[in-house]
Formats: sequence, structure tokens, C-alpha cells
Amino acid sequence: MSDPRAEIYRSRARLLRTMADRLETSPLHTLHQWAGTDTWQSPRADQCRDQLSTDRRSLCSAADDLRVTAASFDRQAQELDEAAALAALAAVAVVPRS
Amino acid sequence: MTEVFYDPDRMATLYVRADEAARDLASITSQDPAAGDAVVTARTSSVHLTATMLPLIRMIAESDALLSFVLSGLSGGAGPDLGRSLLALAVDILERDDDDAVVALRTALELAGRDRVAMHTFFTGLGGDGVAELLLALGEPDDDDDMEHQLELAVVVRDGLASTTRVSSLPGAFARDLVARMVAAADDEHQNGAIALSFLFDDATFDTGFLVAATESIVDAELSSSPEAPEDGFMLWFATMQMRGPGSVLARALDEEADAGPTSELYRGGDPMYAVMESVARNGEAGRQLFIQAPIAEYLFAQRSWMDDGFRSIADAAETATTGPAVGPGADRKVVDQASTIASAFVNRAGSRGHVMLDDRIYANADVTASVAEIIGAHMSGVKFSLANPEGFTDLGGAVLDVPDDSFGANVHVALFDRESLEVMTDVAVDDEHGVATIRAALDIFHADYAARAVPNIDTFETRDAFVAEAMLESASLEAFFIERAGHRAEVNGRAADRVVTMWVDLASFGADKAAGATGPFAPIITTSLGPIADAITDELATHEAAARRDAEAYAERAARQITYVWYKALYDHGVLVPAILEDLGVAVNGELISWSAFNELDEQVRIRARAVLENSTGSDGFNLDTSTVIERIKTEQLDLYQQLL
Repeated sequence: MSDPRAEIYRSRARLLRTMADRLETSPLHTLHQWAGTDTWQSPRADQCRDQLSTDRRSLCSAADDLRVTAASFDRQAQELDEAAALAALAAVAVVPRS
Repeated sequence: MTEVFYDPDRMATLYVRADEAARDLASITSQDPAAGDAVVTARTSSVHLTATMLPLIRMIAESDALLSFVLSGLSGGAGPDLGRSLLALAVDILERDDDDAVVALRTALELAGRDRVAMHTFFTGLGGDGVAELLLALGEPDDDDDMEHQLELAVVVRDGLASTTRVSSLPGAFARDLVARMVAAADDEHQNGAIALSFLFDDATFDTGFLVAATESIVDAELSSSPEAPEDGFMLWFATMQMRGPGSVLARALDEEADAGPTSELYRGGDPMYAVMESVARNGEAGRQLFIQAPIAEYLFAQRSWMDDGFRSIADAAETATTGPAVGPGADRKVVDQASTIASAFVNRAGSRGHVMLDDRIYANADVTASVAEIIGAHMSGVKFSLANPEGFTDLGGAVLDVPDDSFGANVHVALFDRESLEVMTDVAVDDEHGVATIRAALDIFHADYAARAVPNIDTFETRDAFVAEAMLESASLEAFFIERAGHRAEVNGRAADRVVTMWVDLASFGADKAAGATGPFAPIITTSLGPIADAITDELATHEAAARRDAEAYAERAARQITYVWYKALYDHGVLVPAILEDLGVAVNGELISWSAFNELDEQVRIRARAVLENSTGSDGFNLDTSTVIERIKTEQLDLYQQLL
């Protein structure tokens, strides 16, 4: 037996992981290859590089958070399924004998 | 200290990659609240790129030393060479449907936008028909990613063309060739000439010459498509309007509102005249150059259908061409003359459409009312002259009267109106309270202006007393014309006519108080901005309920006294009437009579006494005005009117 809410949690978890993948593979993560000091040097270029590093870290952190949330959704789905299975067993156990 | 260094080739790549990253991050979205923070993080990172890094690279690229880096992958450095390189990319798009060239040309055009010579070379090389060809090709549906790139390039081409027309002249036939190619695609299933033209003129500001030439060409094409029935000229675009299928990619740039209707750019995008006329509405000089041409005025004002926007864009364009500071003091005389002629043509020709102008299923709406009220209000001197002529003026093409004007040292044109058309368009102008307030404000300014200019010269009239008395009666007739129509429209629209009468009488002079006083010699057009004054009047009306309700006779009395007070003030301010006691009563301050609004704030006994002084005062040189007779005549006329309305 499966609780219908469990599938919703699993679906949400899948979408959160997909988004985490997108954040981790964003073209932003390859920009540093072209934004280095061999491309440009100036105080404002330094600021852009710093901002780029900060944003890369933020995206990775956001992806990590999404995966943690996805894992908790999977756990909740599992718990709902287990509860549904127990309930089904209990229902069978109380069926009166004919 | 940081050494400053740039590698142009690597920066060009960085620009393209950063642009790609920004778009990718901006496209990340989710309906799941659990992903909310992640979406915000992605958008924030995107904004950091679009607001900081990309503009910085563009700024560096625009510096002389590094302009050549634009040409990464292209031949040529700047100026004509760069223009030819851009042209080669455009040819790749047109001849080989090269999607990579679409991205490359967009990037190159964005970065080369400040190189005027390059842009001029590019656009003249492409020609008007080539630009049309490019936009039509970019409008053809493709897969999603490609369509996004197509739309981005189309926007850059449009904006680049608009800016090029403003800074350097394109060949005379450019606009005509462009329109001709678009018209040829009007019934093409894949390319959509109407949408492409709507897209071109939407949100872009073209040079006046280009805008005029393009509009003339569109009008010519529409009229040629339906020579026997010009009212069907808009049907030139009918095939496009009926097309099914995915539609032009360029339509995605047109704003779509929740309800398809007259304010939706997308809804009316199938007929490009709306976007064109909205451009004309932002360019008064273009409007004057177009509408002064009688065939164009006849077609656009009187014949063409404007069902998709309820006459809004054409009325707005006429308003811009005929009102505002550009046609006021300091303007070239030719401009003022054109504005008067066009105001006459607009009222006469649009008015000749008759009842459709007053049908709220067709053209009657608040925007049109506001525009028409501004036009009639600004040309109040023309209304006065027209009403004073019992024969009327039947030249619908734009009748004008030559009036001496010291500021120009010659005669100027004053708009004259066909009586029947004027009545229709006045009904449009007073179709709502804001329109009535606009006309009220215009009349206040006109009366005060007229009296202030006439009084210093009354010595030139043999019978000065009679002249002033006659002028007061004319003012009353002008007022009667408008209040009668305003009251009638209120009743037709199910509004209380007494509210209109209250605004008309109790808030008279409120507008003149808000406006600057009359200065300088006679000007045929009121250029004081009427809208804000009308706003103030309608705001005042909202809090006016506390005033004591009056009967028709009380309103007539008050109206008559207000009309004559305007003249008393001009006579006193110019020293024709100088009873010293008025200063003691507080009715005059520093040699000038206080405003009508301020006068009404005084104690009733003071007002009665002041009125008695004014009505019985005699000028120092024998000027003697029998205003009690005049007031009685005005009151009798107005009483009849208010009895009908209350």
C-alpha cells in the first residue's frame, strides 16, 4: 500500500534535485575560465571576479540545500508509505472470520 | 596599484558566455515553495551579471582603444569596415538561415552600437527592403531556442535602426522601400508584414523624417488597396489578422493584457497603423507634417476605421500635434498656423463621423474625451469665432481665420469649426466629468486672457462701454454653449446634470486661479497644461458636497456675476476702474482685484458692498459701464438653461 501523498513528496524531491543539477551546471561556473587576469585586469575587473566567486558559492550552497530538502521529502514519503502499509495490515487483521 | 589590461578577443568570449549564463539563470523557476530561496539565488546571480559585468564589458568595448574587439571572428575593425562585416552576417542569416549568425550579429550590433559610421554603413547597405527582409525572416517560427535568439536580434536591429535615423540621415527611399516590402508580406502565411511593422514602431523612437515617410507610405498602401472605399483601407492587413498557426515571433515583443481589447498591443498588432500612430502621438512635429496634408487628414480623421483601439491613438496624435508648449509662445509661426489648421481639420473631420463618436461600443471612451477636450480647450479662441459666425464654417479640411498678432508681426491662423462637427466633438469632450473640468479650465483661462489683453486696448474702440458689455455677453454665450452640451451628455450617460452645473458654476475661475495670469500679446492657442487643472477641479468637486444646494435662479445669478467679475478684474487691474474703497474692503490688493475664488471667501456683506461699488463705478476718464443691465441679460439666458438641467 502507498499513501498518495508520498508520491507528491517524491515528485517534489525529483524536481528539487533537477533544479540542484541546473544550479551546479550553470554556465556561470565556467565563466572564471574567461574572466581571469589573462582576460582583463582593473579594479572593477577584480570586483567582478569577486562577485563571480561569491555567486558560484551561493549557487552551490543553494543546490546543497535543495538536495537536503529533497532527501527530507523522500524520508517523509517513506514514512507515509510505511504508515499506509501498517494500516493496511491492521485492517486485514480485524476482518471478522465468517 | 592594479595594472589595467584587456585582451579584446578573450573579452568578446567572456561577454558571450556571461550573457548566456545570465539568461540561463534568469530562466530558472519553480512553483514549489521549497525551491523559493534557490530561485532567488539564481535570479540574484543573473542580475549581478546583467547589471555589473555585461555593462562593464560593453563600456570597455565602446572605448576607442578596444572597439576592435567587437570584431572577434569578423573581418574589419571599425567604421565602414565594421558595417560591411555586420552586413555579411545579415546576409548569412537571410541566405543560409544561419542560426549562429543570428547570435553573432546580435552581439556585434550591441557592441558596435556607438559606431555611427558602422551602423550607417550596415543599414544603408541592407537598404529599407533588406531591413524588412531581415525582420520578416526573424519573425518566422522556429524551435524555441532559435526563436529567442531571433527576437533578441530583431530588438537590437530595431533599436539600432531607430538610433541611426536620429543621428544620420538614411536615403530618402529607405522608409518607403521598407514599408513596401512589409506590405508585400501582408498575406504571407509564414512572414507577417503587419506584425513586423507593429513591432518596428512599438517602443522605438524614430527620426521625424523617417516616421513621416513610413506613415505616408502605409497610408498610400492602404488607400491603394481600396481606392473605391477608403474606409476599408485597413483591410489591407485583414489577411494577417485572420492567420492561424504559430504566428510571428516578433509578436512576442508586443505587450499582452489579460483582456484582449483596445489597450492590448498584441490585440491590435495585426494592424500596424496603431503602433505607427502611437509613435506619431509622441512626436508633434511628425503629426503636423502628416496631418497638414489634406488627403491624409481626411483619411485618418474621417474615414479609416480605428475600432481596435477605440480612436485612442489617432486622437492622441492629433492632441500632440495641436496643443502644448511646442505650439505656444516662442514657437515658429508656421508651426502655430499648422496646429490651428490641424485642430480645425480634426474637429471638423472626426466630427463628420457623427454618432459613432458618441457610441461607447465604438469610439466614446475616457481617453478620447480627454484628447478632444484638450484640443477644443486649447483652441477656444477658434470656438468663440466659429460660434459668433451664424453661417458657420463648412470647410472640413481645416478652416482658419487670419487674426493680427503682434508677437509675429503678422496675422496668425485661428482654428475655425463647422458648427455641426463642433457640436459632435464638444459632446465627446464633455462626455465625462474630467472632460467638463478641462473645458471649464480652458474657458476660465480664455476669458481672463481675453479680458486682460482687450482692456489695455479699449481706447481703440469708439464705444468702449458697449465693447465691454458686448464682450461680457459673448463670454456668456460661449459658456452657455458648453454647459448646455455638458448637461445634456450627463443626462444621456445617466449622470446627474446638477453635479455638472455645480462644477460649472461653483468651480468657475478655479482653473484660472491655478493657471498663470495672462501675459504677452494675443496667442491663438492656449498652451497652459489643462490636465492638471482639470484634475484639481474634479478633486475639488469631490469635497464640494458641503456647499449649499442652489436653485436654477441662484446658479444663474452666480454665473452672471462670475462672468462679469472677470472683466471687472481686467478693468481694475489696468486702471480703467479705480474705486479706492476696494482696497479698504480687501477686494483689491496692490492694485489688483482678488481672484473670483478669493472674492467668494469674503463675508457676504463685504461682497454685496463690493459688487455695488463695481457696478456703479465710473472710470476716471468717463468710462461708465452699466453692468446691472448686462448681468440681468446674462442671468436671464443662463436661467433658462439651468432650469432645463436642474
